[in-house]
Amino acid sequence: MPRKKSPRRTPAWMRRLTALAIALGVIATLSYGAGAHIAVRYLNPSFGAWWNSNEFAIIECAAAAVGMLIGIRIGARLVNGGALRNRSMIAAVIVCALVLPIVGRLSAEIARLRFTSGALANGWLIDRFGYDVGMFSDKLLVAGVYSIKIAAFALPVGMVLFGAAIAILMTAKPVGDAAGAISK
Amino acid sequence: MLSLRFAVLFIHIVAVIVALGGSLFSTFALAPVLAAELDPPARLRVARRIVRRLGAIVLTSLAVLVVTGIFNVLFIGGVSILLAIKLILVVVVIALALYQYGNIGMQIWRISAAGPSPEVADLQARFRRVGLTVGSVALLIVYLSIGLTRGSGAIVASIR
Repeated sequence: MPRKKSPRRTPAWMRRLTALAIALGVIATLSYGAGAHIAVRYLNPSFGAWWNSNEFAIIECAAAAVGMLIGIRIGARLVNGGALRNRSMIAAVIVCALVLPIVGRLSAEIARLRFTSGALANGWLIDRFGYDVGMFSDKLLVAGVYSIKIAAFALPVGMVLFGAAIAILMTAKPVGDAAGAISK
Repeated sequence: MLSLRFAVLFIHIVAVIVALGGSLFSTFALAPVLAAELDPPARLRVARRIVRRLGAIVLTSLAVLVVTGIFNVLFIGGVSILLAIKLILVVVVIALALYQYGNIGMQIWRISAAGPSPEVADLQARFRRVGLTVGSVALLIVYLSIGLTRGSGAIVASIR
């Protein structure tokens, strides 16, 4: 007997936006870790040069966007009330897009505080896989952990942006069927 | 005294006072007085407006707290284990506050439009329980913050 699917609570546009941010983050992180800009330069020199100078900023912004979008989605799951929730999500995503460069930069600053992959991980990877693969894996690990840390720091920002949007919309106008009864 | 760091810390502390003080006042002073002094329909009318207004104040304070908190971490210049625990607890508090005001509060708002009912009373009890949990975790965060600046493992001392 087929299982009954519960209705999805996250709108499709939000799922697509999150998937896009994750994909962009993963591609930029892998490209940075693997030094793939050399291959891109080989195919298209001008785009390769642009990619090389911007891929780190793209990693930071994509990671911050993933963190904030996940924060908004967690916040939305905790809230009851369809119309208000959807409006708050849209408002929060717009504000997220506006503050993304700032949040990305600040989260990246915090993520860089006292962090290296550590000689332990580096040594273990070289012991396990040899020098070339070990160094390559270590660079990938550092870039991956850096992205995850940026996303982790951006997550509460997304949650509070959603909370602030809920707060503003909640007080701006009574919501739902109860509104009429209350205003009377 | 008049540095950006000082101003950010001041706003951060004021936001904690507003969020925590508002919740504690509502739970321990306002709700018992309303229960004692007003008849059920009037009490419900007042309570539902308070839920909405307090929700806006608490959620806005949390937003201010997170923004100023990020700047504070940058000013401190390091992330310790204690700070990481504090940040996780902050996420828990935000989630609980969103659940309290955005979910339970919203249900109280909707259901109570028809007047007092047992369902509303249950929701109000749950609202109070979640509020107490938020208050307790917030107090724990305040305690950890004192540990960060004044305790033996003070992050400023360990870095500079």
